[in-house]
Amino acid sequence: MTLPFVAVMAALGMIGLAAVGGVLSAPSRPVHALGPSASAGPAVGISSRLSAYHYAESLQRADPLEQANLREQLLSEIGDGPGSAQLRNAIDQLYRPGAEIGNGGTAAALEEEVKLNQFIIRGRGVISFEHFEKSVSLDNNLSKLVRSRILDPANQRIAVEQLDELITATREATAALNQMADIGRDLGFSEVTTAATRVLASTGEDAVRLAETVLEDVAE
Amino acid sequence: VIESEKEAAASFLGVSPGLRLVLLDELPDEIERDPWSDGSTIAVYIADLSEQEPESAELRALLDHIEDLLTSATRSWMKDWVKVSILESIQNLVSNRRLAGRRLQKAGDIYDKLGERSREAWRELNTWWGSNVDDL
Repeated sequence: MTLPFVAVMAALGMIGLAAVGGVLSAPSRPVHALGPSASAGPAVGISSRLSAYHYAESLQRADPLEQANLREQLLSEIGDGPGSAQLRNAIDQLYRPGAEIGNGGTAAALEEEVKLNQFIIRGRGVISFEHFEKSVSLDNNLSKLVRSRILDPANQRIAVEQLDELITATREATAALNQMADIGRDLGFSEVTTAATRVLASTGEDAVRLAETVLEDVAE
Repeated sequence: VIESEKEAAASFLGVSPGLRLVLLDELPDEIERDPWSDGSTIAVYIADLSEQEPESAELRALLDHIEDLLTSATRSWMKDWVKVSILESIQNLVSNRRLAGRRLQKAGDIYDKLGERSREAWRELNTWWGSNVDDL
């Protein structure tokens, strides 16, 4: 459920006008600082931009019942055997029942954070990637589980699919982090912001490389 | 003073002997520890303990430690780690297991035992995701 950035910007332009007129009042979500970068700049106009953004984004949301069915189906497909408890725990933690963001998965949360932060940094706000490191950690754990080849073929297929979805989101978030570091530098944000963003990006690159290697190995 | 997520995760080793065994059994090498992976292990342990021994002193000590970390947090990474790595994982684990008929206790039963800061972080997650898992 990735919205093209240009399309969202266009939606913002239209919805922003309506929001100014008091027509819209979408809820905003909490935004937290990335490390010690809270001094990066004033968050001028962020809340109204996020409200408009959320309204545009909410139009794209999936049916919660459909999400729940998909997740339950996924969980019910996990059979017993070596590593199955580990896989079930990973998937139990990956998905949130009834979530309004994407399919309720950590990958969807990360995609959401990328989109939010692309707006925030342009408004000189403080960026936040709460789900980035969780995604990277789950990438690494799933990579190790898949590489161990202890799962039976059906469970291995589920693990590979989950890993593939997660690294796609991690890859996109990593690219966005690098881009944000460049924007931060261009806009004169503190070096701390840029440095912290680079550190996060390099962690993501490592996780994506490991996952890609593992997925290539098991595909052979 | 805790200076990193790794130190925050390691601080749990001294709170619960049972959790210490699980964490060290999974990865004895302190240098290689991944605090986000440890957070996941801590969440599983707390979810299991809250189902099996909901009134235990061990559960109380672990939840108090989470509250202490959030109360003493001066950097946003600490709150992010506790919130997303531990609290969100507990919410997802408990609600998914309950929906699948694999546990009796609700996520809300754990919420009721949390301290003020932990409850605030818990509610932020419910708001962010647009889903309150407490009564599922």
